[in-house]
Amino acid sequence: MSGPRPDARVGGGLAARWQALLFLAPGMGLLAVYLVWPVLVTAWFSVSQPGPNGQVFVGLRHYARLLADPEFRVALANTLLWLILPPVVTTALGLGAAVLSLRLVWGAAFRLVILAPMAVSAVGAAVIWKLVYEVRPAGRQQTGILNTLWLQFEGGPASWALLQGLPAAGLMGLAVVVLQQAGRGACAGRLWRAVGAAVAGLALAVAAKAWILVDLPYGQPQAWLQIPFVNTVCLMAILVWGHVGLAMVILLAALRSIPAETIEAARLDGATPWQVLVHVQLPQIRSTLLMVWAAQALIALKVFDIVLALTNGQWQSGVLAHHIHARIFVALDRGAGSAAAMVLMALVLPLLLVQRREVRRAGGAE
Amino acid sequence: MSGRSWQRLATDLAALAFAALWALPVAGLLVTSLSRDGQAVDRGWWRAFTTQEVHMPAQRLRGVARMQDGQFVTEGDLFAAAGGQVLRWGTSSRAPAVHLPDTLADLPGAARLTVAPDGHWRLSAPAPVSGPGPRVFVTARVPPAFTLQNFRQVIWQPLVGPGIGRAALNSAIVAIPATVIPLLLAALAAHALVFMAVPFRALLGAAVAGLMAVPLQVALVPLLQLHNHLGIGKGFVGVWLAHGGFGLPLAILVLRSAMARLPAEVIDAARVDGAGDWQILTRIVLPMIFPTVAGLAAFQFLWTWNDLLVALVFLGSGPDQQVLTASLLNRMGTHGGQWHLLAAAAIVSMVVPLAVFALLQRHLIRGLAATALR
Repeated sequence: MSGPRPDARVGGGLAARWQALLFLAPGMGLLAVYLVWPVLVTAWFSVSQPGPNGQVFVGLRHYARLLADPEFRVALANTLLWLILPPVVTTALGLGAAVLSLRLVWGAAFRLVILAPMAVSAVGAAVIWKLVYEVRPAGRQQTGILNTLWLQFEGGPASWALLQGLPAAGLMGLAVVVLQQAGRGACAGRLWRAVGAAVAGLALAVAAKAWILVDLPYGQPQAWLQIPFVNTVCLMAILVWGHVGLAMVILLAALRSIPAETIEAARLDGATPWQVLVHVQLPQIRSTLLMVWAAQALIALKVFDIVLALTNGQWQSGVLAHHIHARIFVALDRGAGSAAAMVLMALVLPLLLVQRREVRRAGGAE
Repeated sequence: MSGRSWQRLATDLAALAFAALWALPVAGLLVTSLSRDGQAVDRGWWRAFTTQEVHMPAQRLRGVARMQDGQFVTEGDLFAAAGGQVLRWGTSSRAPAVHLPDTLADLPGAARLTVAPDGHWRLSAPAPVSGPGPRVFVTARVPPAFTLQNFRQVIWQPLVGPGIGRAALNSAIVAIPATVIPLLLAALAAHALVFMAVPFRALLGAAVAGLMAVPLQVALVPLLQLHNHLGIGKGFVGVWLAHGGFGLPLAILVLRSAMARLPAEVIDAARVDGAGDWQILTRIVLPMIFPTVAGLAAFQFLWTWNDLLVALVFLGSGPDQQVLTASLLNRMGTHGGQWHLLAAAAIVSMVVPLAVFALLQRHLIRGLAATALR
């Protein structure tokens, strides 16, 4: 993002100043009333409650009440999950789609198909996917694609290998790669990166082991949206479906801005396409990748419509944005609702900082 | 084939699978919305293209009886225009498939019923049939049948509640001013920040960027109170202002950086010629950054048209104010298994944004990198 022009180009004088004020005032006024003032009011509401003579300061009581509420804790935990999983998957798939589309003859058509869900509202997407997750009682013909596919797996060794062995092996492979990165980071003296990668790698390994051992209910149609955690994954899939296009387009612009000579040089040195991607292209678009991830995390943080439309926060699928709405407008609990809103804002802020920094670094992206 | 062309093929196949996965859920919705009598709902939409053996819902036989050979005879057709072939039938839910077509079944009151393979039935009885008429259960082979009737029904002739046409109008009433207002104010403010003498310019710009951190949820309660206080209450004006306020920071930032990239000589020349700032903005600056403005407008329009939260909070829930997304949400709760109608309503809600998207996709894609900041 480039800054404003130096003053030389700007008209001066008192009249000009008044005119500038006239141009600025409506926008700044709307911002002050609709963004700045509400934040202050909500911050005050989160530490006060109505008394006989107006609002009375009550300290952190609302926050304490929130923390003691199991529903809020579930929503917060889910929100943290939303913060990690969908952005990572969306960014990875967006990168994959961008790289694929560059090698296709029909790349433009491909991009259009991936991008189109962006125009669909979250409620519309919820309807589309509700049809996918639809369940009928056992014995009747299933009308949801997911249950129809699910019932193809009768529970024999082939089912196990395809649905449990294969994904677990993939996860384990990913864990090994990430742990290698941790080792490399430790050798290079980058402690934080090493610790982060080690934790992520171990988490992946644990997940892989758990997935192998889990006892899946083969042969039974499942009400996907009513199983805790599974329903959260189902809802996340909708967000990913809607936003891969966005990630793809931004990453594509970044990939295209890499000078062709750089890639050609690597190719002449005998690098395979995969090596070119990992060692030449990815390091060049690192900033853009981070920016896309942060943008997706900001979107995931504010997920509301999808949850409201499909589960309304039941079956432990609640998230923060939905919890705030329910607190304020269903439970009519303004104090705790305001406190939860402040928690949401506290989560948004660091992500926004990362994103702005990467936008500036990526340069010209804005 | 050489290694290279194998690679080509693998890339094409991977992309094809990717695209199919993305398009499949929408295809399901479309097929469901077009299927007659909710056929796709009973079978699964991917089976809607072929003739299927289905257990049809029970039908009551009704009709005007006529006298023939001393018997009261009633006739009719089990299939509507769609057609089909009866495989088995029955008259009780405990034995819904005991009879073959063209056989006679004895009913209470010495009545006799027969069903032909083409769905034609004939009921003869010594006395007029009293009560609601006998029920028939049919197992039939039903050919695929598609129709636009579902769309007609959800838009103009809903069985309950208002048609979705009114909701679409409300969405337009919300989205158009909610796009124009922030764009206009942002253009003015960005112009001032770039081309005019404004004290603390850098600080103001940073403050605007900082306001992007404010989530909508934080502002709901105070703004509702404000609207009640001002006497706006729940209504379109409040929604326009809320969308305007929340769209503004990004619009200002994007327009400011686009304006800052314009060649300075053009603006200087216009100033020397005595043009005022309003003229410079409308005649020179905005036309020059038109692609950015178009992309931003398309984005804001999609955002406001597809929004649910602002509409739920700042609009009333009556049919005169309910927008498409809210109406769709309502239908999801009450569709009662009528998937074909819900699907049609969802498709209707997507037509306008998809059209905007298709028309402006070039600008959109160019402006995306900037607007991804939302």
